[in-house]
Amino acid sequence: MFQTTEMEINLGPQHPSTHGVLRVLLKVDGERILESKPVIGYLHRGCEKLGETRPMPQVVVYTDRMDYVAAFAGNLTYIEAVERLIGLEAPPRAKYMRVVLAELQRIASHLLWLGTHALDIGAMSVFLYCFREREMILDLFEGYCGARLTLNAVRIGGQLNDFPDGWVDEARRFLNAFPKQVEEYETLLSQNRIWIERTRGVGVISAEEAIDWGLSGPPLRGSGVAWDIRKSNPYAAYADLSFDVPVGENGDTYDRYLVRMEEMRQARRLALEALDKMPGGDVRAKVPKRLKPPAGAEVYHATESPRGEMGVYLKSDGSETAYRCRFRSPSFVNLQALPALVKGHLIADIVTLIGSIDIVLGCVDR
Amino acid sequence: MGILDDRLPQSVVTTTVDSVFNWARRSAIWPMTFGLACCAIEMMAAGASRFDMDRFGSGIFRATPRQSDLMIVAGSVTEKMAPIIRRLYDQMPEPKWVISMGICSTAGGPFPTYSHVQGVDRVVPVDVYVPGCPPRPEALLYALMRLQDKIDQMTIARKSA
Amino acid sequence: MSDDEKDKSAPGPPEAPKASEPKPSEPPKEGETPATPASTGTVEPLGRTAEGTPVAAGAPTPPPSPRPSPATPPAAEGAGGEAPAPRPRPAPPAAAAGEGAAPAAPRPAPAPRAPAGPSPAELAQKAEVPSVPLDRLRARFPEIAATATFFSGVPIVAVPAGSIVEVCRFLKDDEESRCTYLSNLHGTHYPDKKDKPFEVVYHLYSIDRAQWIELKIELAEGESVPTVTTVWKTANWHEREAFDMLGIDFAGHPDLTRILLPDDWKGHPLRKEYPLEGNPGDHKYYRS
Repeated sequence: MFQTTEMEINLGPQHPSTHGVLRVLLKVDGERILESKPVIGYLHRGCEKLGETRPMPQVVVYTDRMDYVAAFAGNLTYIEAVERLIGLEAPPRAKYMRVVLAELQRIASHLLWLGTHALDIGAMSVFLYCFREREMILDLFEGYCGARLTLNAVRIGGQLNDFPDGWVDEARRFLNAFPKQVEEYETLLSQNRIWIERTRGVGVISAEEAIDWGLSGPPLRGSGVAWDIRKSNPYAAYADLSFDVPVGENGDTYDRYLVRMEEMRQARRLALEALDKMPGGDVRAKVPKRLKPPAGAEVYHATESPRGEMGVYLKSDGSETAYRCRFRSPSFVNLQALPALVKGHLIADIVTLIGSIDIVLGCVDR
Repeated sequence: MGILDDRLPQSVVTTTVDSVFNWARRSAIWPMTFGLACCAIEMMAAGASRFDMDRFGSGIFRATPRQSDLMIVAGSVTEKMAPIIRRLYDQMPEPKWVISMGICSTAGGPFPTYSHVQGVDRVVPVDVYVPGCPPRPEALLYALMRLQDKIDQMTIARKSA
Repeated sequence: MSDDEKDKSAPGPPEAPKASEPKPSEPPKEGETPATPASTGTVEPLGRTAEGTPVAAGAPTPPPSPRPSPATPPAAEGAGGEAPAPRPRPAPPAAAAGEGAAPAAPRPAPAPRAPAGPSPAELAQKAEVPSVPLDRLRARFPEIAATATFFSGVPIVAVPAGSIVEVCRFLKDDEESRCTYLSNLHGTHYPDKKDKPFEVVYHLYSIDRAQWIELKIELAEGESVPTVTTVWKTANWHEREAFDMLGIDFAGHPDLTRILLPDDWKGHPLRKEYPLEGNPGDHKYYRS
């Protein structure tokens, strides 16, 4: 009697819930999504070309601006790749400092993820709670390196400065008070019937398919694959520290949410342990005035950013400027799986899934 | 409003009407959610609990341009995105204002590349520029206050020839 | 780097440049005999095969604990990460002797310049990452894996363009390699190599074994390489980006269109002749 036709809808680059300028072309039958196609590139700024035209110490500031929610992760990956290329190793104190800052950044990034993800699904007050804690972490970063968001807090060979006086106490105070806050968020969401209805069973992906799509980070761990680069290929001081890697079971949005909540707790644990075990000494190795990587050398260094595997490939021609600088960003690869995740779900679920994969468009488009 | 606009010379009637309209306009500037890049995170922080843009009346971010007064271009503008920015600006009803937040949208920022528009004022007219990479939320609030000062200069009187 | 520029008039004596010994900036490796460092400053190719590197067979990363704590008096050097306070102008380790050793000394002629850091051979030997064992690959594709090189422990295998799909499928399915994860795929442009200016690089990872391997293909202008989207779905967007940025054609790709730039863009930006600021037709928005 009634005939329905398919509609093609454009979830345009300007949309409150797409975490940036992402465009998704949808083919829907009523509310059900039949096919989807993400269109990216609205924030392509040419960071790889800039990496090839600027000397290596100068390219670090661009890594802040790619994954701007977790700027420290980008900084650290690039700096460690350069250090591997030139054969330099940071002193132990610098490595522990990097762990502390990286884990604080992980907590800040997950807080922003939680706030925006909950806001997309409809829980507006969680956004304000999460930003309250995030501001405390940004205060810590500001106290350390002067910037809240685009940190540039790592240098080749170590760190530029040691922690200022009182910073460690302030950090400890925050980290000790943090578990209560995480419980507060969990009280709001984890057993909330609306939350469970909106997230359980949405965007299920199996472990094999997740690996095939190249997912990494919480989307992969939510599907049951226990791969964390901090455990398998440790960098900085992670080899000396103990932490657990949370893994989900079903591979749906609810599991990814639980994985990230637990990661916040583990990040706090890591940061406290690193603060306790931090050795004394210098914070920066002797770095030559001009970097001289071996000509023809190439390195691919991957670290675990809050979004997944962040990798930097550097090919050197012997000069201070890299010949080829490739940023393998986790959001770019994770976003590829969106059409597979969203097939058959409702239009409202695509917003949930974009938040659940946790993309940052600066990272996607570079 | 349309009846009175640009008809009367400046007089006590127009100044009184001006003060009422300008007060109304500057106290409820509703921005459009238009975060492009890193500055968007600081814009969200400006709207969140600590810095609270809502006390200026600007806390309601409207998703659709048809219901918004202010477009805060927060972040890098690329060649691919520029026609969309123009279209969104055209869809906003008058009176409308644009704040260019951050140096990427002011002047291209640290990206002098092939795909980056060197300043959003090449695409839409800008009222207030906020430098910074990213500017602190307080800087954005200051820009909002400067925009409010600019709105106070508006008048319905006929502009003298 | 700013370190060196700071203390031009430092009271302490600058450290005498030890030009003769290669200066590693990491701790002495335990249980590994360093190979004779080839301190020539160039690396290409290293010519080391899997058998030649004693640490390729899964030696663990040396834990940082044996390194001397930097709290020891500043005179102890050779352990990386120390700078006595006040910092004298540090001589770059074993580097060109004239580079900043004494503020007023003129720069001597660039005689054999040892690289600042471990030599490439040492770097190659220091297997920081476990690598996929190459013997199975070599058994199956004898002509391919014979020329594997190493850097930083990762084997780099050159593969002819035609057989990339078989090699990838083999590495994915083989029980020893189990490279089920394609981590990265990108292209590079070498305009100096006239006959094969393009290079496509694949980074494969085995989640079960935690091992890396890198594959490389060299391409001529206009030559196309078969797509590996049939092996890993994740290659789809990586290949689209390589096409977008460099113009490399992937035969059999389901949707080889531009991904990061607008569809009507002309040119491929990551090619070396493409200017950073863009060609004149790129910027459509000029101040009128």
